[in-house]
Formats: sequence, structure tokens, C-alpha cells
Amino acid sequence: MANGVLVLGATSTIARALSARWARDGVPLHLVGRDTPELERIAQDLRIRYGSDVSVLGCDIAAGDFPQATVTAMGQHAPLRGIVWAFGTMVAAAGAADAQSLRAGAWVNFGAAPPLIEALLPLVDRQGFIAFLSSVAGDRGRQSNYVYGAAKAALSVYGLGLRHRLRGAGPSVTVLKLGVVDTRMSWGMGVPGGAADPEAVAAEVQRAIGAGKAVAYVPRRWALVMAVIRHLPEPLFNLLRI
Amino acid sequence: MGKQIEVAGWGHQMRVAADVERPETVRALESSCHGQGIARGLGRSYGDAAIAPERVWMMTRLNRMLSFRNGVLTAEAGTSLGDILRVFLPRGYTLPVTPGTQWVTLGGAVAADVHGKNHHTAGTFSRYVEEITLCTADGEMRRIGPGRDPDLFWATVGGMGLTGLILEVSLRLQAIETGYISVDYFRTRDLEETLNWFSVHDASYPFTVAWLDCLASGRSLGRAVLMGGRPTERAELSGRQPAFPMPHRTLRMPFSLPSGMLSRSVGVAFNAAYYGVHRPGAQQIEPWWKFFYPLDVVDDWHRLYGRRGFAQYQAVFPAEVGAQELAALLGRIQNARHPNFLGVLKRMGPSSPGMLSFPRAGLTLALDLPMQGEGTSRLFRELYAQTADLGGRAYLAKDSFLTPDLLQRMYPRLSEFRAVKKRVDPAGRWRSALALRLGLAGGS
Ligand SMILES: Cc1cc2nc3c(=O)[nH]c(=O)nc-3n(C[C@H](O)[C@H](O)[C@H](O)COP(=O)(O)OP(=O)(O)OC[C@H]3O[C@@H](n4cnc5c(N)ncnc54)[C@H](O)[C@@H]3O)c2cc1C
Ligand SMILES: NC(=O)c1ccc[n+]([C@@H]2O[C@H](COP(=O)([O-])OP(=O)(O)OC[C@H]3O[C@@H](n4cnc5c(N)ncnc54)[C@H](OP(=O)(O)O)[C@@H]3O)[C@@H](O)[C@H]2O)c1
Repeated sequence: MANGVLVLGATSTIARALSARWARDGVPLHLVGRDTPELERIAQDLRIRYGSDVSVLGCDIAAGDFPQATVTAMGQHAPLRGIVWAFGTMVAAAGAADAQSLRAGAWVNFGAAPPLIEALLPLVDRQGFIAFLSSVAGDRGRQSNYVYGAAKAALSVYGLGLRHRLRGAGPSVTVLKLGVVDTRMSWGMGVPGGAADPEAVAAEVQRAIGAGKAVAYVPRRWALVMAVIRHLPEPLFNLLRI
Repeated sequence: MGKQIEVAGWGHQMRVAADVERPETVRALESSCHGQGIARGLGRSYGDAAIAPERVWMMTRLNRMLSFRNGVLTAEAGTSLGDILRVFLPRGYTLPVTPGTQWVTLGGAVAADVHGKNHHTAGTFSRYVEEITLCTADGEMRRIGPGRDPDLFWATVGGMGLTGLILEVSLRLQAIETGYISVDYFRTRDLEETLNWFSVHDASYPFTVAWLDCLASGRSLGRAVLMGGRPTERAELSGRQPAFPMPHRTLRMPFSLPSGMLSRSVGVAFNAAYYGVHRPGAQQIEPWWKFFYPLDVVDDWHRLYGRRGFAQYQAVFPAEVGAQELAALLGRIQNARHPNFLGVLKRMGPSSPGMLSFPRAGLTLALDLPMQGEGTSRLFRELYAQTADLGGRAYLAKDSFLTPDLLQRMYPRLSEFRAVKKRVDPAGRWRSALALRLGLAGGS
């Protein structure tokens, strides 16, 4: 299985939609995450629907041997066509969260990324890609989710720094700033304008990666929304219940 | 985390606010699996079968295909039939039984034990179901089938979600040569002729159905356009035709029409157009979606009926019920001057072992009726009373107006179902608005 895509956090709904697109294109996939029975179901689905090559790898980002176990296991699949970072978890507003979930939020959304990605880097084809599913929440701290937002901001900056370092000499890095997508993460949130369909989001994400973009807002209207929110003077911003 | 939203049946005349769970992983399903409520698939049941005042488990994201061996597909219950066709038709397999829309889930197809245009030869959906995985009220995941806890299996088949959440379904697919149906069109002048047509042609066509001209009255009452179909063989196609064609995009109804706009006159036009289109005896080779799912070309077509929504009357009558009794029933709708546009008639084969399965040998009649307030309810009550008097029964997947005593008269195996329900769900966890209305919720 040469030149596969490594999907980190492959049980994510957006990741699943992305995997389906690559599978349809005949790209081998390596699905990584902590819930191996679930990964196995997703892998079976991709095999049956698209006849694709899919392998599953359990990876516990909270374990003591992280990230070495994962990196060692992935060695046999090099060179990789690309890596997608899809791990993420919503964190309650800081006032409502305990220390444990604040720590986990920072780790799952950002902390675990640098050690894992840096170690996997040598396995990625020089013409390949690394993509981070980040969030518009990182564009400006907001009362409702600034812990999550802070971690996503860190993830975005990490991605862009990596892109800067690898330019011309390594895989292309793309940071995806996703708006609200209709998955378990946003289920139950009221969203003006509605949450985007994961399959439509996956299509745009794949396009942005293919085009070698540095940053892409998906769906695109979020670029405009966030430009406004970023530039809103504080007195006005303070009036918003977001 | 659940979400407070309003859920409705396909007819959109019954709605309720519920705490809706939409599990995307098996773990999430297991951890959300507490409290009272009902499973929901794609919401294509017309009335209140897939809505509940407490919780609703939307199963559509659990739609992974898990294995395909020796023609048997095991997939999660949220997988839609349309999805299965897109994956398996190109490999020469099709659904052994399909309802009139492809946008139903495996779970919904089992829970309603759905039937299709081939019921007289193929039986119901459950005939091809080898096993299911059911999450019961005690939180257990049970593998059941006709040979493994058959009582629970046959209570779940047609049991409208009231025995638990179906997580997986193993379905035997059917090998075919092409994705086309060769269709012969016929037309008849009256009800007598329509019924005779079935007597003559059911033996020669695996797929038969009659579209009734609901506005014809008097001597033309019951005249119809009829279709007899059979799978097209490879040799019948020209070399250029792909053996397994796929449809293009569907149209979308962007908003509800104002109530009443699809009025009697539109009905006249619709029926007349449909009636005029087909030349009798002309054979056509039609792609699968055109033959099986003519209504699916427009998404959300229920919006044609406006905000007040619509209801469907579907009943099946014992074989003894003939043209005279049916004519009286159709006459009653016309006398009520209640608009109705779509009428479908078909002769069914023998019943399935499902305790609450709808089909039985005899004629089935389905009519869409736009909701017009109390007049519509009254009409339904009358039709149902007459149906029960004729020994017929109404289809729970379409129903909004049955009462507990009518249910008792129509479903003779109700007590068997109740016994199983009591065994696996003593506290009455699984309950829909339909179950509450019909006294099927159980518990104390
Ligand atoms: C245009 C149209 C044409 C139709 N034609 C036919 C036809 O020809 N023949 C026919 O038989 N029916 C027909 N139907 C009815 C339809 O097939 C049934 O109502 C079917 O049950 C809908 O499936 P669903 O996935 O939408 O389920 P829903 O409508 O969401 O639910 C229906 C029932 O199934 C239960 N259910 C759903 N998923 C699960 C699960 N995972 N576990 C346990 N219970 C579950 C629900 O609790 C509910 O009681 C038609 C409907 C439409 C809209
Ligand atoms: N949905 C949105 O609205 C939205 C908006 C902006 C950005 N995003 C980002 O896009 C990515 C994918 O989103 P999604 O909505 O598809 O997410 P999702 O379905 O909730 O999936 C999240 C993924 O992260 C994993 N994960 C969560 N907590 C973990 C933990 N403590 N340890 C290990 N793994 C953990 C999950 O694994 P398990 O299955 O094992 O739990 C899953 O693989 C995420 O990074 C998310 O932050 C989403």
C-alpha cells in the first residue's frame, strides 16, 4: 500500500467524508484513532463501497508511548501521500469546565499535534500534503468557546509555521478553518444559517488541499463572517452573545 | 447530547418537539441509550410512527456497510435503500423488495416490513432479512433472526420500532442482469376491469400496480393506468446502453405551496396528464428509478401539499372483497368532495410471519389526502370503520387516525405482539406518538 493518506482522528464525521472521497479516487487509507472497533466499521464501509485499500491503527494520544508507537507502526506505509489531522473536541466555556477537561481540550485540539506530526514528517512524500482541520473559532476569542478557540488558533499557527519551514522542500501544508459543520460536535447548537453538510465540506477541503492553499475557510462564506468578527471594535463585539 | 427540535412525519400533519439524539458511532448510540422514546430513520412514514414526545434516536448517521458475503449485505440500520442501490447495482445486485421511495432506511424497512410492486410474487422485505442486531430496553445488543429468538424477530419485523433500536440488518440481495424494467402499460375503463387485470396479469408479471384515476366517477369509477413489469435482460438492451444506469440530480421543492393550491383542479390536470401519457399495450424499457421511484424525482415533494400537510389512507382487504365493496368506499370519498389525487391499487400475496406486518392476501388501496381540518379526520374515521367492517386493515407506516379498538379488530395477532413487548420491554421504554395513541406503548 504505497502512497496512502493517513487520517488522524478518522472516526470524525468530516474525516469519514474525506476518507470516502479519497477511497473513491482509489487512494489507500490508514485510519488512526482511539476507537478501533469504530475505525474497523468505517474501514469495512470504505472497502465495500469503493473496493479500497484501508488499514486501521489504534492510537491513544493520552498513552505513555505516544507518539512513538504510532510512528513505528506507520513506518511500513511510507512514503505517505499525505496526513490529515482531524482530532478535536469541543470544550465547555471555561467557567463551566473542570481542570481535567481544560487540559484534555488543549491536548486533543492542539497539544498532541506537534509531537505526532513532527515525528511522522519523514514518512510523508515530498510532493505530499499535511492538512489540519482547524476552526474559525481560532480567529477571535469568544466567551462561548475560547479554550477550544485558543487551541485551534495554536493549531493554525503551528500549521502555517510548518508550511513556512517546508516551503519548496517538503509536503505542502494547508490549514482549514472550518465553520460550523453538521456533526456530533455541533449537534444541539443553534446556528444562524445552519450547519454545513459534512460531505460538501469534505469536497471543499479536498479541493483546497489539492490547490496547495495555505489557509481555506470552509464553507467559504465564513471568510467574510470572520473578517467582520475579527475587525469588530470591542464595544460592538461586547454586545454579541457569541 | 440531544437537540430539542420539532420532528414530523412525512405528511407533516403531525409534529412534536422532542429531544433528538443522532448517534454517529456505536459507542455514542450505547451511551445515548437511556430514557423513553423511539428510533427514526429517514422519516418517510406518513404519520406519527417515528416521532415521540420524549426522545427520538435519528439513526441515519449509522449507515456503514459492514460485510458482503454470498449475496448477503450486513449494514447499519441507518443505511438508505438508495445508497445500497448505488453501490450494488453496478455489481449486478438489487433489492429483493422496495417501497415506492428509495429514501427509507434499512431499519425503517424492517420496522414497517415494507412491500413493493412485487408483493404478490416476492412477499415482504423481511423474507430476505437473515438477521438483525437489536438494542433492547435492557441495553443488550441481541442478534436475532427467524431462527434465533424468532418471537422477538417477528415482533420486531413490522413492529414499528417498539421492541428496540435496530442497529444492523443482514439482507439477502438479488442478482440481476440490468438496472432496467421492461414495462407494459395498460388502461382500464372501470373498477371491474381493473381488478380483472390483476387476475390475468399477476401470473405473468413480477411487478404489477394500478394508478387509479381518483376523479373518475359513475361508470368510469376505478379506471386506471396499469403497469406490468419484469426485469430487463441484458440481450434486450442496445449495445450502447449501460447495463446499470444511474440517475442525475433530483429537483427540490424549495418551499411549501400555500394550502389548497394543489386543489381539485390541479388534481384533474395531474390525473388527466398521467392518464393520457401512456398508450395502452406499449412496452417501454425504463431505468430502475423511473419505474420504482417516480416520486423521488422531486425532493421534499410533500411540500406540494402546503403547510397543513397531508395524510395517506392505505388499507388491505381480504380476497373476498371485490369491485362492489371497493366502489362503495371510493364513492364515499367522492361524496365527501374531499380532494385526493393519487390512488394506487395492487393485489397482494400471502402475509408474512411478522405479527404486525401489514400485507395479507387481497387488494390494497392507497390514497393521499390533503389535510383539510376536521373534514379529513371525519373522512378517515369513516373509511377506517368501513375498512374494519370489510375485514381489512390499515397500514401503521401511513396511519394517523387509527384508534386502539380499530387496531384490535384489524390486527388479530396483536396479543402475541403485546406478549413479546412485555417480555423485552416491560417498562415500556420504546414508545412513539403512534404507540401512545394506539395503546402500544406498554409499561404500566
Ligand atoms: C413516497 C413514499 C412511498 C412509499 N411507498 C411504500 C410502499 O410502496 N410500500 C411500503 O411498504 N411502504 C411505503 N412507504 C412507507 C415507507 O416505506 C415506510 O414508512 C418506512 O418505514 C420508512 O422508512 P424510514 O427509514 O423513513 O423510517 P421512519 O419513517 O423514520 O420510521 C418508520 C418506523 O420505523 C421505525 N424505525 C426506523 N428506523 C429504525 C431502527 N433503526 N430501529 C428500530 N425502528 C426503526 C420507526 O420507529 C418508525 O416506527 C412509502 C413512503 C413514501 C414517502
Ligand atoms: N463540526 C464542526 O462544526 C467543526 C467546526 C470547526 C472545526 N471542526 C474541527 O474539525 C475536526 C473534525 O470535526 P468533526 O465535527 O468531524 O469531529 P467529531 O466527529 O467530533 O470527531 C472528533 C475526532 O476527535 C477524536 N477525539 C475527540 N476527543 C478525543 C480524545 N480525548 N482522545 C482521542 N481522540 C479524541 C474523536 O475520536 P472518537 O471517535 O474516539 O471520540 C474523533 O476522531 C475537529 O478537529 C474539529 O475541531 C469541526
